[in-house]
Order: sequence, then structure tokens, then C-alpha cells
Amino acid sequence: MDKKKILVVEDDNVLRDVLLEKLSRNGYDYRGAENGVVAMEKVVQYHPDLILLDILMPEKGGMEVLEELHNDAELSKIPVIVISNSGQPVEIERARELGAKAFLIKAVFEPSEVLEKIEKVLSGADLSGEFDTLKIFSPLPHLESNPEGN
Amino acid sequence: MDNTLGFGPLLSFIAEGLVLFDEKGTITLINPHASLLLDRTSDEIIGKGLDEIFDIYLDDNLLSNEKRVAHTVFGAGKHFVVPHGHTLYFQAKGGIRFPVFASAKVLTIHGETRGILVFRDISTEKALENYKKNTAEILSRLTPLLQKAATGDFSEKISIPEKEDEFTELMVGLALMMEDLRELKETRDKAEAEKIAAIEDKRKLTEQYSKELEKKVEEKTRELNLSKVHIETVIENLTSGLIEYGSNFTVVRINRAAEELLGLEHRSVTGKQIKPEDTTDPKLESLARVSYPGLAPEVRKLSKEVTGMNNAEVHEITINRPLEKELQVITAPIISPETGEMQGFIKVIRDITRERMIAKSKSEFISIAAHQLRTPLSAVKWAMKLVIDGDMGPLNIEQLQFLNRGYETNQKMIALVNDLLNVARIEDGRFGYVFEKANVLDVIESIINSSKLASKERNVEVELVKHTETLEPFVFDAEKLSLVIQNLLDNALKYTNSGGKVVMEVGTEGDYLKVKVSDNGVGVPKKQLDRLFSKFFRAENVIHMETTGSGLGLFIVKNIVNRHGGEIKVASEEGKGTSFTFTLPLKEALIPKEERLTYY
Repeated sequence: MDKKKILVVEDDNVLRDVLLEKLSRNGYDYRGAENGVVAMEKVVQYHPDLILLDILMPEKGGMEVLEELHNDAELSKIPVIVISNSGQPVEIERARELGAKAFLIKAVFEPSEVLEKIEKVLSGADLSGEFDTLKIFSPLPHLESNPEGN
Repeated sequence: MDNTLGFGPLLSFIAEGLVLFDEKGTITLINPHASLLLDRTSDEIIGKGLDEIFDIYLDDNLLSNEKRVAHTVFGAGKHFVVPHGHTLYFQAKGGIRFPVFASAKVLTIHGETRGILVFRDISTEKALENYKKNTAEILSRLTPLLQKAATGDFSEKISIPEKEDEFTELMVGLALMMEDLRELKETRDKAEAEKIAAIEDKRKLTEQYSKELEKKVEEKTRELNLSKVHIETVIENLTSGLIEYGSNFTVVRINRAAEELLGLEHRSVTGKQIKPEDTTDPKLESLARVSYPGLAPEVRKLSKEVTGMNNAEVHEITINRPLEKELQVITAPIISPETGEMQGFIKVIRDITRERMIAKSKSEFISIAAHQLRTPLSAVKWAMKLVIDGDMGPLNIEQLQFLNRGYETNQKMIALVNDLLNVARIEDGRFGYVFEKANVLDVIESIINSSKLASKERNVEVELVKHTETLEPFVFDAEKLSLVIQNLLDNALKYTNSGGKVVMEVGTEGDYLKVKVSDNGVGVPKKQLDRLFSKFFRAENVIHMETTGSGLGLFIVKNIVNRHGGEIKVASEEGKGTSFTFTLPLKEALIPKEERLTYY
């Protein structure tokens, strides 16, 4: 079975590299993009199976990328998971309108959880009901969770 | 001699007294009527002298011999008649005197000379005449009296003649009546006089009162003028703009601040009616926008729930002249206290440009905090996590322990940033509430489950007590409520010593959900209880404890509960424990409609 192709659009090098490392170790094919312009080029060249998309980026932001994908009949079929630290309610709502499958606050989620979400989306699980749930949106779990617990 | 002279039968029918006598005055014949009148039989009279047999009076005087009938007729050779204006009386037998009409003269009958006296009793005529005379006299006396009485003058007294007659009774009656009338009049006059006096008193009193009133009105007017001057001064020097309009948008008054804010020349618009089309006039554009806030290009109408003002409307608009500014316009009607009708309205204008700028930089801070602070923290978190998870190769226990401590510290930093972010959003009124129907027990149970590790670590038992098993889904913001539950549970776990217990009770009370989170931990000092929900507050007995906290958790909790239309209360005893109880409305209608803006 072919490896699933993941495009990681993230301007922060550390975050991008951690995700790429994680994807590599979990048997995915992957590409990185540091802004929206590069992302759109790679979407066309690479034809990813799923896009991890940051919102606040130089050159072209994630919301614009999401709009372009949404307005293209073919590209709109590619599932998108938004990864952002902004998470204002209006942004979350806009992302949902533009067809994003999930909206993850980076400071809240761990890389392994992002991987779980990717697996879920790729398996075709319906996450629309989860879009409102605590696990997706909670910007702030207050209790420090034990990292060993995962 | 035929003493009847042949008249006998004839004379007896005549209804007048008739006596014949000879030259010596001796009565030769008397008819029955005369005999009746004189109360004597013919035998008693015939043969007697006419002038002797009965007395004759002229008025009250006995007639002298020479004036008597026989003497007059034969002696003087005259007719005997009653002189005009006098009354003749005959005196019958028994002394009864009666008035008569009488005449006597000499007659020659069958060659024989005889005197004839004819008389008639005129008592009735005389009485009638007397009555007429008397009546006329009395009437003549009464007339002026009655005339006076008719005009209301009863002063003259009616004197009653000593001699009683048929008028006496009338006179007495009249006199009594007059007396009554006089008394009545006197009483009436007296009452009238009293009334007049009373009216006069009243008039004087009224006059005095109205004078006093006038004086008071003058005083009040002066006072009013003074306070008006005072108010005018206050209004003129207000830093907020104030415009008063008549009901048809005519500017009645405008203060200096309003003129300056709207770029108007001094008093140039007083008395002018402001119309919507004035927005196209550069000089009036800003005033027109304030007058009709709905026409401004950028307008925000604040709801009554937000402003807390029932009568007034609050708009926030932008103007371009004389300077680009954001204004808050409060419009309040002027209602007449008497009629309840709207007489006009006032607008209070506040320059909120600076406030808005601050608010804007605050929201900029929010995105900076959210993105710029959380992104590096995320990078640290993810990089460390990658290593901790063993993705970069196995670690020994010590390496793992130190990395975990670093990871924990980073997590606290993230929590603090998150708290700051939430507080900023709450204060900006942009916490973004999403009210949807959900199952509250699911939310509570999921948070308790996710806290299991922490409770195990701290050796604090967490118990969920459901006072109701059948809790229908109701409308609330699940995400925000989970923050509330998590914060309360987090606090309870943090401030309860090993071996302690936290109980979460869920039940309903009327239209409200009631959640109680109680612990047997360190408690809160009594004097600090009321400050527990304020920003950055941390109780003095926990500051030195090992656990850390931003002091923002309970501030956020209280805001979320209140936004739902619920209440939160705390009870605590230092060293014994703390319990937080909050309520949430089960009916959507009880949730306040809009987020209340907090101004500072």
C-alpha cells in the first residue's frame, strides 16, 4: 500500500520539523511548506492526501489557502486539518465554513495527538460532530497532564 | 172723618213708612210699615202729636222743636227733608235708633189739609255706606303701608283701632303678618350682613393668600433661575457634548463640547431643524450623523442589556469632520411629567476614540499573546515531547525525569498565557460564547475522567454524586462550562492534601442546574473570601505553597457562570475545606441575551 502523502504548512521551523519527524517515523510520505504561496505550489505538484495548515503565516495566510482550496472543485476534496495558536472563535467558525476537518490549538495538542487526528481523518471518520467537542477546541486544559500517560 | 181718607187698603201695601197728620201735628193715619218701623201699634200713635211721639236725631243731635216735622211743614210752611250730608235717625219704642230717609210736606186731599210724612229705614244702606267709607279709609291708611311692604319695607307698624269692627281681625292679622315679615326681614338682613361680612373676610383672606403665593412664586422663580444658571454652567462646561432637541429634531441647545466635537461654529445651529439630508452638507455632516446615528457609515447599536439603560439608546458611530473620531451617542427622550408625552430628546456625545484605540490594542495584544507567545511555547512543547516520547531514541530514567520537569514548566507557561488570553477576551466582551443544547453530565464526567491521573498523583479521591439521573440536555456553552468545571476541580485537587477527598455534586433546583464542588483541603481565610473571584487574587495561605496559579482561574469561572445567567458562591473554613456552588439556568430564556461590555 502506498504511503499517504501529508503536506505540512507551518512557518515555525521547530513545529514543522517535529511534525515531519513524527510523520516520517509513523510511515507517512510528507512535504513541508513555510507559507501559503509555497503551499499552493506544492498542493498542485505533490497532490497530498491531507494538509496540515497553519493560519498566521507570512506571504499568504492559511485562511487564504483554505479559501482557494475551497473554491476549487478538485482541490476542495483534499481534507485539511487546521493547526493554529490563534483560535479566535470567528477563525474557528470561518475554517469550518471553508471545509476544514478539525481545528487544533498547537499549544494544547501534542504531536502524537495530531497524528491520531490525521489517522482518523484519513480513515474517513466523520469528525464533523467532533468539531464542537472539547477535545478539538479546548484552548486550555488547565490541569497539567502527565506526559507519560499518553 | 174717614181716617183712612180712602187710602187705607192701598197704604197698607206700601213698603215705606207713611204718616198723615193734621195742622196741629196730630197723627191721623199711620200705615202698617210705619207702625212696624216705629214699633208702635196704630192705636198707640193715632191721635198723638207727631213731634212728640218719637224722637228724631240729626246725626247725633236731637232735633229742636222748631226743626221737627209738623213744625217745619205747618209752622214754617217748608218741606221737611234731610239736609245734604247728614243722616236722620228716628228712635223707635225701646230706644232703638235707626237711620231713615224721610220727607214731609203739606197735602190737600178732598179739600182737607193734611201733612204727610214718608220715611224709609235706611239702616242697610247706611251700614253699607259706612262700611264703604270705613273700608276706603282703612284702605287709604293701609295702601302706603302695603306699598312699602311690597318693596320690602316693613318698618311701619299697623296701629289697631280701639274700636273693633269687621276690619279688626284683618288689621290684627296684617299687623302680625307685618311683624312676622319684619322679623323675617331682620333675620334675613342679619344673615345677609353676616354673609357679606364672611364673603368680605374671605375676599380679604384670598387677597392675602394670593399675595403670599405671588411672593412665593417670585422666590421660587428666583431660585429656579439661580439653579438654571447653575445647570447652564454645568452643561456648558461638560466635557461630554450635549445637544437638546425639540420633538422635530430642532436643536434647542448645544454645549461647547458638542460644538467642538462636531466642528460647529458657535451657536450656528441653535433653532435649526436637522434633517437626514444634512449629512451631505460638510458643515452639518457630523451633527446630522449624531442626530441620525443609523445613517453613519459605521454604527454599532448597544443593546439595553449591555447599557443597562431602559429609556436611552446608545450608538457608537464614526465621524470624519472636523477630525476622524469615534463617538458614543446616548439618546434619551424628554418626557413631560404631566402628560407623559415626548417633548423632545437629548443626546450626550462622548469621544471614545481613545477608548476604542485602547480596546483595539487590547485585541491586538490578544492575537499577539495567542500567536506570538503560544507558538514558541508550542515549539518547546512539541520538541520536548518528541524526545520524551522516545521518537529520537530511548532515554534513561534520569533524562526522562528532567525532561518531564521542563515539559511541566512549559505547560504551566501555556496555561498562564491561556488564562491571560481568556481574561482579555472576557474584558473585551469577545469570549465568543456558543450556546447549544448539550448533556452537562457528559461534560462533567469527561473532565473528571481526564483528571484521574492528577488525582491519583496527588492521592486525592474524586467522587461524583448525581442527585438526578434524568437530566435532559439543555442549552449552555459546553466549552466554557468545561473551563469552569476544570478550574474548580483543578483548584480542589491543588489545595487538598494527600489523602483528602473532592466531591462533585450535580442536581437541579427549580429552573437551575446546581453543581457543588467541595474539598476538605486547606480552605480560604475568611477575610479573603470576598476577594476570591477578583483578578490575580491568590489567597495568602496558598501563595507559599508549592503549587502555582495565575490567580485568574476563578475570575474566569465567575464570568462564565454569570454570562450564563447563573451564580457562584463559595463557603470555606481555613484548614477544613472549601466548597464552590454554582447554578446554570436550564431554560434558554434565562440566559442573558448579549455579552456585556466592560468599560474601563
